[in-house]
Amino acid sequence: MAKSKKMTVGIAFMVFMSIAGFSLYKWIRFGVIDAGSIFFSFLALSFFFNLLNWGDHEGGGKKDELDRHIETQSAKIGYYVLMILSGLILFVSEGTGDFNKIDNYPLVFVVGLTFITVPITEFIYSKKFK
Amino acid sequence: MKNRIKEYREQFGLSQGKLAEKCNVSRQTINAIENNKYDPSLQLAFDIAGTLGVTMEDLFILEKEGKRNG
Repeated sequence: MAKSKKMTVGIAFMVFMSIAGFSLYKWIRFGVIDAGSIFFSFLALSFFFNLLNWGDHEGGGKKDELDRHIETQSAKIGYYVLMILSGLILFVSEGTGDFNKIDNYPLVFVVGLTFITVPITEFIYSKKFK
Repeated sequence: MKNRIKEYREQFGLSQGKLAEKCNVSRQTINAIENNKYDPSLQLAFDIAGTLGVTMEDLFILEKEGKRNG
């Protein structure tokens, strides 16, 4: 890895650690959970992994067909990981597996959307070929 | 799908990097194809065959004939 790339990756990681650390400090010290800090922590973490993998914070740059294959497969795997995680977060945050006792309807809606997003996208995309 | 890229590449006196450069892909892509970790697109398969001066049939070995029909 080139020295400049290493430095950029290092800076991205430090930015992530700073924001995440500040959010944790506020939570532990004052009991305040700041949505902005959580959002920007995830954004910094995504920049870090994109820089580490592609050398570009947005995941762009020059890519050949193996890179595109990696992107496509990762998108598929990532989708199912997100589906499981959203379900887990719903049940853990609500503290129950009973649908009648769940109050967080927006999150239920998001979990439901994870089930239909791929089939609907496949249906629409297949129209291009069939 | 198995292939004989490494064999022909070495006969041709090309390194993975040189072959990659000629086919406009990264060295890692050629390495992944040689180690049967990735099947190349039709375009890249033709590019590799053309660069090595062999036919597609010589370069790629279909493991099971039945696989072609799914």
